[in-house]
Amino acid sequence: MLGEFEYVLITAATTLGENAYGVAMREAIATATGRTCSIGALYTTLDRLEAKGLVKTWMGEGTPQRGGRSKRMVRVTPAGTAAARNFYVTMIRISSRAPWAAQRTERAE
Amino acid sequence: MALQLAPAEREVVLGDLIETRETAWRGMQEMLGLVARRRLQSWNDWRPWLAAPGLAFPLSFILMGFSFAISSELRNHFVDGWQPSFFSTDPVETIMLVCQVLVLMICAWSAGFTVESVSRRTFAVSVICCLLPCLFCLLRFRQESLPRLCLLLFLLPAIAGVWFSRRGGTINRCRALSLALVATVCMAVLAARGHLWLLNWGLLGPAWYLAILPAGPTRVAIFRNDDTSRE
Repeated sequence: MLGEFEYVLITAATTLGENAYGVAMREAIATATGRTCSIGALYTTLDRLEAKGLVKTWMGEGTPQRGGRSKRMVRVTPAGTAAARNFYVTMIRISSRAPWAAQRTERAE
Repeated sequence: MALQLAPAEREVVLGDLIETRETAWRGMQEMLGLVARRRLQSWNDWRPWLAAPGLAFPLSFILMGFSFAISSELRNHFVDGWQPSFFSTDPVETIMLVCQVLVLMICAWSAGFTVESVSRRTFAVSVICCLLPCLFCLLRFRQESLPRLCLLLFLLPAIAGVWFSRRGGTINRCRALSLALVATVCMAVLAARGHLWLLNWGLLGPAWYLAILPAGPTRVAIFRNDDTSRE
């Protein structure tokens, strides 16, 4: 099963779609979690996910904002999508009877 | 700091730092974090563990013992200054000396070559693992008739092995097998004459490792420490 941070990365990459690359993913993660994501954590985790066949990365084109330097673009593979879905379902299932999940449901009602 | 990263990764990370307009201090922290993670990642593999604590550290001790034995023998052969007395001494002793020199050269060269080719990324740690025993023994050396540096005789062939590997050199299976056989025969001769400590047989490990590696592209990939072609 995926680790928490691996799930966060796959979700961020899926949400960003064609625009998924290092800076955009770090911003998405910081916005969603309220915590900054270091470059080291991002790229070493991406390497691990790529080795597992859950994402595919390639060198994109450089832009003037980056001083002409390339981006590392990310795309989630079908296996990555399945692994993230599995993680999500498992979390929802195991949390169903947890007190914090009940409080959240009550607030929603 | 960025030079520690692979060129493609360096390009991406520097681009990210420019795009996010990080301060120099923050950029340095980010870069340092990534470099540290990459260095630590190297140790997830078995190869650095084999190269540094598995080979460099123990083999240094044994090779220093050999260096010391050869230096002592040479001192006996070079009497009255630099006049060799090979023909006045027992020829068997001369053969023993030749065997010791051959074992030292072949085994130290093979060890240097193997340590460098098995784990190129963590080579600095392997060097430290080799030099620590040297320092330990040099500090404890109490033989007045021999210079301390005689313990480091093995470093010359070992450095030659490392240098050969760094230059991308490879050794074919036939030559590696010949070297391993010569070293083994010499070791057996020394053992037969009681000139050998049991642990010294461990010196043959790198020579036989080079001999038994499969021939062909896999062999070259292993020597060049090329991860992608090995998988």
